[in-house]
Amino acid sequence: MSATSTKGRPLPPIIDVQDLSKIYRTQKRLPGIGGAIQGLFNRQFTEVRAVDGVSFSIGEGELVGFLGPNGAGKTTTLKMLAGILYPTTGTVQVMGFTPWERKNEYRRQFALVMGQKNQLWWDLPAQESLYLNKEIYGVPDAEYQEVMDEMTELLQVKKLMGIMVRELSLGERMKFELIASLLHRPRVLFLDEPTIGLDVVAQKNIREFIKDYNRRTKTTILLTSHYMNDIQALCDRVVVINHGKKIFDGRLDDVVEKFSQSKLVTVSFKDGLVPLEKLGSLGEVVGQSGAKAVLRVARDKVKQASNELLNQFDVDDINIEEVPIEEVIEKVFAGTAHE
Amino acid sequence: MSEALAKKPFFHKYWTILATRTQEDMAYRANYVFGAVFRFLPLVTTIFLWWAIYQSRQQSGSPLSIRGMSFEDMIAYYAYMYIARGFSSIPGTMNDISKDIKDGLLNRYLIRPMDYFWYQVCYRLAHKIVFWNVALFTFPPIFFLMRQFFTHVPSVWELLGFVASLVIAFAIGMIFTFSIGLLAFWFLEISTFLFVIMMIEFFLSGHLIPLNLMPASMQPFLNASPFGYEGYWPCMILMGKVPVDQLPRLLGIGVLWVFVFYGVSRVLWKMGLKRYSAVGG
Repeated sequence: MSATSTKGRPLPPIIDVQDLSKIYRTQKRLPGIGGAIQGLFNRQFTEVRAVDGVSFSIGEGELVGFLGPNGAGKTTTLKMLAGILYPTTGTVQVMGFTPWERKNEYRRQFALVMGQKNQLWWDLPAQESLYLNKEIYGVPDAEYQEVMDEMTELLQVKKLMGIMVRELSLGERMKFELIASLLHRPRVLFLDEPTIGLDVVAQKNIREFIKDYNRRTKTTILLTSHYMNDIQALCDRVVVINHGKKIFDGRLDDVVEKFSQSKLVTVSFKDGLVPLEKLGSLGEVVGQSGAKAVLRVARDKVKQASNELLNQFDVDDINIEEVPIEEVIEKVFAGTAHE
Repeated sequence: MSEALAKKPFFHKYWTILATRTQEDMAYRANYVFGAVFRFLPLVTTIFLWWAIYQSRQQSGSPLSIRGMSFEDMIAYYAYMYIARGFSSIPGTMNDISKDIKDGLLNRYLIRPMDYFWYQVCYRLAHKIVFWNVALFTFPPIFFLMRQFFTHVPSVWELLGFVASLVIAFAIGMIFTFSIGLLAFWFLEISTFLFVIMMIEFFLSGHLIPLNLMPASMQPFLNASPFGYEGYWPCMILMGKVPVDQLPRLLGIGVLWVFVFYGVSRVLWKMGLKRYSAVGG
């Protein structure tokens, strides 16, 4: 899919990934000490295809969610985009740079935030680490002051600037981590699990900040997260990968349509009794409480099923919904959903 | 570093790393005080040991100096060694670097516009600054107590040569430990190996016994080795055992070693990074 803005207007891609593959070669070791000794003389390798022919492009200012279960190849892809890893095959262009050449010019224009792998210095107040980053990136004083004022205000950490990093909570540290990565106003931002391990309130704070930041600065953001809440709140577009392969690229809403073969029909009955035995023929009963029942009905049978319900029973109310996206994604990852 | 230099972005960047790390290290100055005092404890044993050796030589009628070193010289050597090692030994560096590599922490340096080597140099230099800030108070009283052993008054040239040799000592110690730490790119578990390397370095630097006491057959090798610059040569210069006219040559070879080590570390870094970037991180 080519990058398009929400209005459908094509934007020039700022990130262009073509046929990207990464094969890890790891040594196979037989168990036990005998295996260890054998491994010294006769090395056997297994190949792991962490990323397998992935292509996508992202337009300037987009906020794209990168979805996949653990080990799907998300982080490996991000690392290649950030220039930490060389690919086995394929090309990547970010702002016209090949990331793994690690040119300073490139490194001054992007940031990678990895949840919990911090760049803050433990035994100093956060402001010292921020100042250090200012110098490393060569941010002019005036700009630094401006960004700091703005960010510390937005993230409500102004009062925490002078406190030792080791005494901050995980959420507070994550906020400073974000500030440290945004000081040089990167054009491209890679966020790897920015909310991991945070409590619900902190997650929400960070999420809102990211959304607002993207809207205001038009910074291109590629984000991975385990929390569907993050993705739902932030991303219009998602790229889904599994076993190293891209399996979906498009609007988040379309994920459901593509991968979910059924809808949920909720009916409440006037007489207060659910005729369970008769509902089985219309669809799978997945829930029941009081006078209500929830049926999972195949997409193409929904219309027919609702007609039958209305005709055969004394129905008080009927409601047809998509299966929650979380559930769909879960099934996609588990490999039980089919295209 | 002068103000003018600090204004240039390159220096400014690393100057800030140095200043920030110094600040952080200051939090541990109590540790440094203990370290700077109690490190002298083994010296007491050393004094008694050599006293017994020289005593027995006197009783058996052997000449009182061993390879040109009197009892006083011998003790002065060990005392000066504390100064030299205060520059050349960079504790923790190998382990920190190998940990950065193994745990993938290197990533946070690779994505930023800076050089990991110079980052480490600044980081360790900061440690030295804090250490010497403390040692400037703890060393003099101990040296004062030992004043009877310092029989040679160094000339200005010897003092200058000594200072230059300390800079070389730091450079060699720094680049050597950095390079060894980089071996973690290839080997997952290197702590035993690091221990062996440290022992060899300890021995070849003259920390254990002055290198001129080693068998004559080993002398050419020991004189050519870079490790002597980490301890032996600075001590000998300060004790006036190196003729002043030979200082430029001695120090020149030391500087040469610095460049050789630097070159090797650069190659190791490039190769290692290639491997790191290929297999993971």
